[in-house]
Amino acid sequence: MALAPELAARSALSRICVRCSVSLRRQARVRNGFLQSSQQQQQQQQQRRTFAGKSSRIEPADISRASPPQVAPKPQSHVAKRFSSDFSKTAFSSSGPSFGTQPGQRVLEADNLFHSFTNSPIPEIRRRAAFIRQHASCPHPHHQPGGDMAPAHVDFECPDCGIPVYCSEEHWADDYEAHLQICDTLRQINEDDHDLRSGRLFPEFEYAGPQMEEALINMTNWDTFLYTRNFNAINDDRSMRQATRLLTYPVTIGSILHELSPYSLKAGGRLTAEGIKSFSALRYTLHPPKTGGGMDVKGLRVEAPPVRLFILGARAESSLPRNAWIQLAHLFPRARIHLIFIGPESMMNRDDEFPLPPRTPSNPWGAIVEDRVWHSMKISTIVDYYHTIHKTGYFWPYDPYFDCFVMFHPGLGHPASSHEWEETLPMLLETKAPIIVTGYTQEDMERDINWVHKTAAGEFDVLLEPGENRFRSLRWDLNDMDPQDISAGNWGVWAFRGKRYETTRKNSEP
Amino acid sequence: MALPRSTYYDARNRQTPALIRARRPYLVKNAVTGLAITGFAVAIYAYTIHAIGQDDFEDVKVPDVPAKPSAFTETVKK
Repeated sequence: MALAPELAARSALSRICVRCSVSLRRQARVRNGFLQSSQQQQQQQQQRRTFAGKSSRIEPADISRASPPQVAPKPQSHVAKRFSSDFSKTAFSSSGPSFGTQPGQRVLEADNLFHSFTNSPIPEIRRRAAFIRQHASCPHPHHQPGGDMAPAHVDFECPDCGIPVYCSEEHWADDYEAHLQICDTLRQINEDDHDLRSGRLFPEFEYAGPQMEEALINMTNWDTFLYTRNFNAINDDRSMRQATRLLTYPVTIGSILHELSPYSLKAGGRLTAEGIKSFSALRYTLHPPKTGGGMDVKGLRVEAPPVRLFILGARAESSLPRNAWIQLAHLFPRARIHLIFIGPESMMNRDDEFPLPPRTPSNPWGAIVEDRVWHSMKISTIVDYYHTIHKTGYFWPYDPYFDCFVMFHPGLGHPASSHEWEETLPMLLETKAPIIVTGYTQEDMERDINWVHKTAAGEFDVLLEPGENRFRSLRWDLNDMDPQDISAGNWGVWAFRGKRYETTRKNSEP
Repeated sequence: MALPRSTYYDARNRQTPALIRARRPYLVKNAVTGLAITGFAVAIYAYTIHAIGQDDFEDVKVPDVPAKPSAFTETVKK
């Protein structure tokens, strides 16, 4: 019975990657067409959709034809440049099918997880190795701008971590000290990737149900959270890494907005005075008192509208298994939550939900609405830029008691994507709603912060001091374009908000 | 019907690594609290024993000669 959610979680995890590229995505799309035809589960879903039967799905050309009409006005190639985490390896939906075994059949044993990427028993990883060889360049100083050699692609696979990292054995040996700093982590990534496709049973993807009202949640760290939320015990570190890679998205939001948040005003608690103002407003809505309502007519009560969480620039998180998002609803059992994924890439990896609904007067943005994911949670997905929607006033009015923006690794300051955020940022500040931002690494986060400081100097208040996220993904991810660049999902988190000028005089009358 | 078994304890009711990790932030605090409570209880016990041990029962008068059986008990024996 528990197989379906588990499969979904595994497939989502196997597709998470960091900072992917246009070509990879294109490649993945093609493979998707072929591979999905071999997957019964997805076929059944396809048949339910009116859009297409099996035959049209198998043709890759059809898929690319199917998406454009309702998709964002900007061209895809432009969008794809964004420095991003997403599910790139779309083709691989679960460990089994792509190499002809049943899901649940064990392919690799727990003590046999380390394999060289190039000679991996799993075709998906071999393809990934080929991709790295084609795109990543050798980090040896000789290839750097000041060096005496032309840039070269990686070709030599380190025997200890099994990932192609240098162009030749000589360069690897020469630069070994630098490599040694990340070699252990790379090996861990290698083993985790193989573990995900090992076909083992994944009990860590079975999540806890609703929380008992009397039982408080302890958000000190992952372990106390999982224990007090009554999850099944996750003993193994590797299982912990796999589980937290998915749970980090809902729990990061929850840990900041919840009244039992680990971030506080105390010294070192990272929350600022402005932050407590903003988050208290949201907590007022998220933790309402009991209404005394009931099921009959006498028990009818006026309910607050749902809290809107706008997840901007959504990528991986929009195709996260829904039972992972429901964990957010379990954290706030009395509130209603409306998750709104907005972004040109927000339908990534959700190919079976295409085509998007038509843009009608009642649904002007062609949003895919998943009502009643949970009785108190609704999820909408809009494939468009946020600033386009903002300008039409579709979500207006914004209320700090009901609205919050979340951006998971937006790459605000990344040269490839910052121009896309330039137009969005002033609008976000204008709403005066809190904006929670996460980053892959300290570097990534600091670049975002510097960019915001530069672009909107004096126009915003910091709500949460930047720092490591208590609920970061414990699993490390590899950037296929640059294996030296290791990151963790939601490594760091900070929050800001447009400044409110309540005490300034509007007109100084003499 | 058996009660559902917590996954945080193994078949021999020992803590699993997950529980040990979850308890780690509170290990020192809990140990100190436990020691304080134990110490307090032991202190009360020790003080009680000490206070009682002071009593040499000097205020209890022990007669030199055992008391003679009274007339009443004599009649009962008959």
